[in-house]
Amino acid sequence: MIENNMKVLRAKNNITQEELAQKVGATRQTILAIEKNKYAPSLKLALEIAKVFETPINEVFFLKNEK
Amino acid sequence: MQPNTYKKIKLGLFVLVVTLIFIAVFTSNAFIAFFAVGLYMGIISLLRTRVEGFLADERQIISSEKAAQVSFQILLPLLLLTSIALIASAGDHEFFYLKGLGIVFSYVTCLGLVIYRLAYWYFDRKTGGSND
Repeated sequence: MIENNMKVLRAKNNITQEELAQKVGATRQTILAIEKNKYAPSLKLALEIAKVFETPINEVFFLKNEK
Repeated sequence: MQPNTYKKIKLGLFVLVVTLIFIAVFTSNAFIAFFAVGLYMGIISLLRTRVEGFLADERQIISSEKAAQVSFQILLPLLLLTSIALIASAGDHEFFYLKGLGIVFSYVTCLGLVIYRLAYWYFDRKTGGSND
């Protein structure tokens, strides 16, 4: 199971779900689904999200119990 | 063109095409139906090239693929069972057309399996599944 810190990173960077969605070429619903761990993004999308936050990918996404 | 505008136009066109198909059925004029479907496909392919941004993201594409997979998994066994039932229930003289329909359904089932296998082979090779 892949989990993520996206909500925290979004708050730190003051980015809304809509803004993040536009930056990575996804819908707001997809960002919401990722944040709620209902959808595991592709490697490409995960890299793009990490790039927006200027953070290594493993600090945004991680396997459960690996935080 | 924004994706939302595209979706609205697509919905409007769809309603128009369905209406035209109903008219074609009631007037027994196949030309209207072919014209409507051709017009719809032409306009949609033209509009798709003018959309700015994306129409569906990866989650929506995956949802669509899963829906197609489930539809296939339900439809094919249903076709197979229907064809068996039709062939088994139809007599040689009475209801002979049911047997014909059952045979058609069984061929459609086989065609579905062949298309699935070919598509699987294609995508397997495309994603590096061959020994080359």
